[in-house]
Amino acid sequence: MFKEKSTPLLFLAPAIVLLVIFKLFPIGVALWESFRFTPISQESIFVGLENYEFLFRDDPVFWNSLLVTLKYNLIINPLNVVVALALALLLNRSRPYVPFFRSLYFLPSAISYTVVAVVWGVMLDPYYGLVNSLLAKLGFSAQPFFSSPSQSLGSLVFVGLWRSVGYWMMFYLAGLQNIPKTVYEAADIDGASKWQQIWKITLPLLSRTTAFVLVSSISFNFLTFAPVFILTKGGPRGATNVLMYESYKSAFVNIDMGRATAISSILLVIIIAISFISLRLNKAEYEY
Amino acid sequence: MKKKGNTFLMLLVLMVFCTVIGSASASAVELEVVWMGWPRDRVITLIEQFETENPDIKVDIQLIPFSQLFSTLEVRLPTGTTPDVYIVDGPVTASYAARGYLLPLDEFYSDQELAEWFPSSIESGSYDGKLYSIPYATSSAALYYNKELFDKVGYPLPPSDPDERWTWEDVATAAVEIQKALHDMGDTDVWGLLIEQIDRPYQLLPLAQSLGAEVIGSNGLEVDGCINSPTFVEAATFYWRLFNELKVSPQGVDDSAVAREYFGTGKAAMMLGAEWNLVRLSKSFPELQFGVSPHPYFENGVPVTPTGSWHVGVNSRTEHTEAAVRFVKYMTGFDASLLWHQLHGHSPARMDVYKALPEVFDTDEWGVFLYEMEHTAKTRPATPGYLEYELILRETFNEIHYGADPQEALNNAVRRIQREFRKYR
Repeated sequence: MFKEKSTPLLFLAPAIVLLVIFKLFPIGVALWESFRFTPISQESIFVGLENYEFLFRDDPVFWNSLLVTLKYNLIINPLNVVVALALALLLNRSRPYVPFFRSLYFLPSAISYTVVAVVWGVMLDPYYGLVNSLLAKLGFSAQPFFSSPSQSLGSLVFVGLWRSVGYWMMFYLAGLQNIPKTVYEAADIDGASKWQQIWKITLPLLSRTTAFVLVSSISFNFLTFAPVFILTKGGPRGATNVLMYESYKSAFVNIDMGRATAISSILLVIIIAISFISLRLNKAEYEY
Repeated sequence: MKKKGNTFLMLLVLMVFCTVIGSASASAVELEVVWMGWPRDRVITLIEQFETENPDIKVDIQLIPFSQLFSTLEVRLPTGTTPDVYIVDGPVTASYAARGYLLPLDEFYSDQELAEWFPSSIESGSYDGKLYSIPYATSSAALYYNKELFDKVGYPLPPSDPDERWTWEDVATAAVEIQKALHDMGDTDVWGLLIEQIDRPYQLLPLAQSLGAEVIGSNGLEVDGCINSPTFVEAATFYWRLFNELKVSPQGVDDSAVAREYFGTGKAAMMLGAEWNLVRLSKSFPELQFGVSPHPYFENGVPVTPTGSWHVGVNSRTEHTEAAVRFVKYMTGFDASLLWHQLHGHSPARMDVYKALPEVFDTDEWGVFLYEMEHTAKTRPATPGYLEYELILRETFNEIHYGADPQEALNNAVRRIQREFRKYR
């Protein structure tokens, strides 16, 4: 295609340079920092694995934080996939009202997460919130939402889902429209029911989309920070203290860069590992 | 062609004009000031007055909400020449000073000037024998009570005489009985006792200090044997009981404005609260009948109250030292302190303001707070690691009030704080 072998590299160069400067370099710095200890107003010193050792051996807050992060992701990512797929299946037809609903469901993901968090914080306020006044009108008792250790993580999942599910729905819609009509026509002729078509044709042929959605959603949600920072500050009783927030506190309140970067390095490893596994599991079996 | 030439000429004139304007305003020093996120209209009143008195200085005031103030400064101070001036929480002075973020201010103040402030405030603004931050306000705490609720159930009012102050057990008994009586009457949403700052060391350390607990080692960098000592754990256990055993205090009311709202709307019989509530309660809840009783203490201990508040400091890297010091002197001076009290209700750190406003401060309520400031006040621990100390203890108190075992939670806090203190040793 290209006469010179270096031509493709030239086209890729701008992207690679930016990636190196803004992604790989900071990751490298973080890794380097995570093996060091920085006393106040002195040069940092190499301490080997000490920061990691402290996290795993002496730091209940880190363990709790790790657990919270895993729990949050175990709930929100499958929900994202299931709800986004369900919405896409519902809206993958040509009726006059469909475009309206597609836009409606997509709209929240066009709003900044910060704004979403503030708005839902007001709506779910345990004392003056809109949701609790509605519950009271309907005869239910008021719920504490973000101020209760047992409900705050669930509330966070709800806000995250509300904001992002429409976005993932769009990918599923695109995936659905890529499946050739002829496959369904053949199934019709063979007498397959609608459910059989979904299970035997739609889902298998969407496995690439699912892989993409799952991996993107995982790497996005493992890095959740804004809603925690705005709504719960990691509380109550550490119930929403995700790793990103713990790392932030370590870096900018406790001025402990070693611990902060060790946490983010662990997070990076987790994300890479989980993404790798889910890509493997969702490997496309069919080409079309 | 002629038209084009005209446009060009006009642009040229405009550019020259702009440059002239630009250089004219450049002769005024612009100070960048990072300030607490108090209501803008109140702060601006002070700033405008300063700018009128000092036409050669422009102030760019940046109001940062409390929850983001410390991290904002943490990001900006290590490298920047700005902000030139910034607000400093009293006990954090040592932290900034140890890291070289604050300009020592001794040379700009005479002993006579310094004598105007409460000695405890000057102490809180000093580190290693030097003065780094000038007191902007001070504070105290005491027991607020709702007279109507007490009368409704016929419970005797808490005393206003410091010598007869209630013990914590008295408070707990009153909270239980009043809450029960009110619940029996059908007021099922009223609580016995609120702690305004439910998890902040500022309001909670005095409980432990009342029992004689040391809250930090003498070098300011040791907490083992202090915040997990038997006396500290005893105080923390009492605090735990309020929420988990006696159930007279609501969990999760972790915003002082919400606590005030509860108390102001008659949803709590008592509130351990700071002096700033006097002004805010009377403004927001003019109907509320409340009184103030001296800070409770433990029976086998002594009365201890919190104190200290905001200070103002100058960035050691500022390029406008003279203007910055002038601004600090204005903001912490008599006029601005008096005006700020009238605008916001903070108690002044300057004694001359109290003398100047007898009609405000000669009341029973202020009498209680002034007594505490003079006799029982203890400043928060002076340690360069105060930010870390505060955050970790705060999370710990938060856990305890939700039911965590006090001893275990405090042992964990020791491990975490000790680690963060390493970098200062």
